[in-house]
Amino acid sequence: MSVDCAHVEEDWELFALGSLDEADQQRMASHLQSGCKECQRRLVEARAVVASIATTAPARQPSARVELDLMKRVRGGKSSGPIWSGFWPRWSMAPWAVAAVCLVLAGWFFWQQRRLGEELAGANSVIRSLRQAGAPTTPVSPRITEAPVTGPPVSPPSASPENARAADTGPPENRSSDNRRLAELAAENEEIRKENTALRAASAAAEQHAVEMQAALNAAQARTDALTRDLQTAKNSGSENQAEIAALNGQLSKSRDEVARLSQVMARSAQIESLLRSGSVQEIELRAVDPAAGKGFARVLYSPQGGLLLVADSLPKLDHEKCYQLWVIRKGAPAILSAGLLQTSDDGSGFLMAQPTNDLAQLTGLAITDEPKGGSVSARGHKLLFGAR
Amino acid sequence: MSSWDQEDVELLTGIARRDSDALLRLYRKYNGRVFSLAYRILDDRAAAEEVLQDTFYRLWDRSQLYRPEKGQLISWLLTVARNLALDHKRKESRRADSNVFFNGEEWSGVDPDSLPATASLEDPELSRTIRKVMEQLPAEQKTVIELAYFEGLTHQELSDKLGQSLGTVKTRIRLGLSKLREAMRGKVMML
Repeated sequence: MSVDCAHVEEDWELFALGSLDEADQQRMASHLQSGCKECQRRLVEARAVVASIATTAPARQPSARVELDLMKRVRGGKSSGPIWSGFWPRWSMAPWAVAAVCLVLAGWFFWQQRRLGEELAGANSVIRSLRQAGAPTTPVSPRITEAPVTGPPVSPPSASPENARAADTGPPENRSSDNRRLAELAAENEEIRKENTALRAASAAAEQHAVEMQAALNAAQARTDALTRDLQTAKNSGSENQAEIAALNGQLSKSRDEVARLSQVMARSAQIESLLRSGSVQEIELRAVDPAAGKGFARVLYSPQGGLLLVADSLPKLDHEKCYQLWVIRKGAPAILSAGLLQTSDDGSGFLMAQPTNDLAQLTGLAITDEPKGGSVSARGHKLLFGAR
Repeated sequence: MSSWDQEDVELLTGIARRDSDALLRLYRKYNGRVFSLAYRILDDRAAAEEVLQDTFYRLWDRSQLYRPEKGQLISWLLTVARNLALDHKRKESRRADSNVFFNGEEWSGVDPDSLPATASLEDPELSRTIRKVMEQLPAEQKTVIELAYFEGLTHQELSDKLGQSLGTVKTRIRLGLSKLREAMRGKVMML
């Protein structure tokens, strides 16, 4: 093989694959060192093509022990220390896994806070208007985000001298109406406070669930390893009991599926957690822009550092040959990027998580289209839902 | 998407400052992919975990040899893991300096802007596409690519093993890889 810039892409792919004989491999390496930019460019792409073959390997997860050993090695054999510090201050002994339930609850908690905050803003707005009208008011405190759970609930208008003086102002019919409204607000406040308490209890339960899920994963992993050993032993011993081997294979397959499922759940949980903690999280609401979208709507949380989380509801059921696909609309080229396919349920709910990417920093809008099953390279379907920053 | 990930670059900068948390974050990001590859090559959990740890330790120990303009970090990690796993499998390195990322070569004067965009291997859609392309390859192309990649066989070794001419082996690998390349390029337009 001659070494000049006549190299085609295939040569660099074979080079990256390492399947050339040693002499050719060395000649091409020497050519690279001569500084040929075109060949360097080709090799970068060739490496990615060759590395993509690795993605065909069945997904597996290492045990948590590898991470501990690596950190111990990196930290000079000293105590591995609080590996999880900065991530899991309360769960310093917990491994990377966090149960999906816990994180989904965390997300739910986040949304509840936001919703209640909006209600609070609305309530305070009403109070301000009442104050302008001269009615007695008791400011509604920001219970969820600032006030302790056990804080005093907002009381209905009391018979305090101050309130009594204020209540003397304005026409009697207005005062009566205002008092009713304030009583409603106080009741609403109490409901919200109870809801907050329940959420915190749910969060604690979810924390316990996370620990249990980790134990389940560990057990499933141990079961898989034991089955693998048993199977190998049976094979090595030349066992003629094919039924036994087949049964072990069946159990092993199920066990591996369970490990993969749990690992997937935990990986997703970790991503949700990462998103919620990444800071500068933006929110976009997607609304139906086509009658075919029915009453479908979706909310998206995203940050360039944390990725993207979409939760949709009331999506019409699509034809079997179609699927929902999310598109990122951004400044720059290409202006429209696929963010992935929604996982949908028969009840019309949808879910999607996307990995962090700098493309999200340039996001200006999001759209959901219907595309042929498996998704499209570029958006060709109907634009069903849309939302802008 | 650019051919390198800004977050990875920042974490590598952290590693250069001996920040073990930066390594930990990269480990958590990529350990599944690296371990899956090592396991596929070795079919041995303990050995694959050893390769996984060695791969990331090498990143910690020799991170200065990685250059973002050479390609995605995940490509680099997979290359390292593959070589370590193949070496482990053979008990000795067939080609001691086959790892072009770690042989100390310098690529001075590379203009990152002139480099091609490559789709992210972390994109699950890309993984699905690649798997689909591989599944749809003619059996003879798929076989030579898998033997070359997962077993580390050279053209000559493949020719001997399969009883095919050297030219046939090369042609089949090239044809198969060209289909993967087209799939990757298609994904560049997507993400």
